[in-house]
Amino acid sequence: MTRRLPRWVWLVPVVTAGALAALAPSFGQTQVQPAETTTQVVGTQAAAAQPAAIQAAAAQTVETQAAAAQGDCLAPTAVMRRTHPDLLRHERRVTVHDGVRDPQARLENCVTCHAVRDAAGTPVSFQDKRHFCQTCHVQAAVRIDCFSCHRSTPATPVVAGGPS
Amino acid sequence: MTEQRATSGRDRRFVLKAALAGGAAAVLAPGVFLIAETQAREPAAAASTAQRWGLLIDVSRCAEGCTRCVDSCRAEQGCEDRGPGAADPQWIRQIVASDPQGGATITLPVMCQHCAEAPCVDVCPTGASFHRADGIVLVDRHLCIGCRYCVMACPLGARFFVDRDLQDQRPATPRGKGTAEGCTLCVHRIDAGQRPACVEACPGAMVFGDLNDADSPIRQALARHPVTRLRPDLRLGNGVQYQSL
Repeated sequence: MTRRLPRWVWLVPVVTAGALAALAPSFGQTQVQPAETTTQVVGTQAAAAQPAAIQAAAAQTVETQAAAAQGDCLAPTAVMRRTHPDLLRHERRVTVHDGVRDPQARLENCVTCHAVRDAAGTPVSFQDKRHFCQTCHVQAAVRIDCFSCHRSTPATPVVAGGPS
Repeated sequence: MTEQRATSGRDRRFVLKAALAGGAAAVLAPGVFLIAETQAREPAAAASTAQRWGLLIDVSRCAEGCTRCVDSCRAEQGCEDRGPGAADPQWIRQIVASDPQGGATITLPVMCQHCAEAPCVDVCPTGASFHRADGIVLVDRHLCIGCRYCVMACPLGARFFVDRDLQDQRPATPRGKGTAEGCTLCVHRIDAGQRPACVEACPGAMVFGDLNDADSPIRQALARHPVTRLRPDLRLGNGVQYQSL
């Protein structure tokens, strides 16, 4: 009654795991080597449509971000790439509910330090594909909604207490 | 046997009372010290029930036509102002009330009253509308699903709903489409040891302070003047109180 599986069936998990292992590190390198990872991850069709924009954006990110000049931010870059969602989720809980406001760990600092400026020198918003967060999140196809409420660009200072 | 049990019961009560008194002193003393110094907590310290922030508004000193509190709120929180008739959020708004018989009018600002028994917190199905330890009623937009129960539950209409995409919010005041919002008592300023923007801009009709601190200006003013709370029939435990209303 039971139908025997073909002999080559063991190849399926092995090949899948191998392919994943080969691709996984490239997710962490998207900013450093945009040209290679674009071809590798997105595939030929998408790469043909986007490579110029993504390469330009990534190049500009690396060159213009204030963060690059300041070295590691909260943690080494490799740690930040992996754990920034956890850090953000933790901070939002302790800040909103407990009122603990760590001056270092503010989303405001992230978007200020990692601001990407356009040709006119204006910081681009999250709507723009060149935005620091977008450069990876577009490729990883992870849609984040932080910036539907949070500001995605450096803020202009406000006069304390408002107009008098 | 009965007598013995009663005695040991008294002993237990005495020990309990002593423990409670000691605990209360230990908790209150550092809180009082902090308020006296800077009115701010350490950045790493969580908001605690040692404080209960409140506002006292002297209606007799609130001038008709003065919109400083409203303007400063908009500037501080970045709420949009598209002119009369637009459904803009009014975290604080000016009300002109008149006596139908005598015709006398009074002007007063109305905002979230930061109630101890807040209806918005009661009705919220996700826990997004919550009561911070120091008495400030807030919306956690990460949890808000935009059901608008709180908007309906608030007896003063102090909750609002964002129905459009927003850009360039103030960094300390994230606001976005699909979430409820209201006066935060400028919680970001309080955490930094400052007074709310409306109080800062008001020429003298508003007093802000800690209702738990007997030496604070607001408690001293409350000891001198009788006050009124909005909708006292609901017994909400308003953090905002009105003098000469």
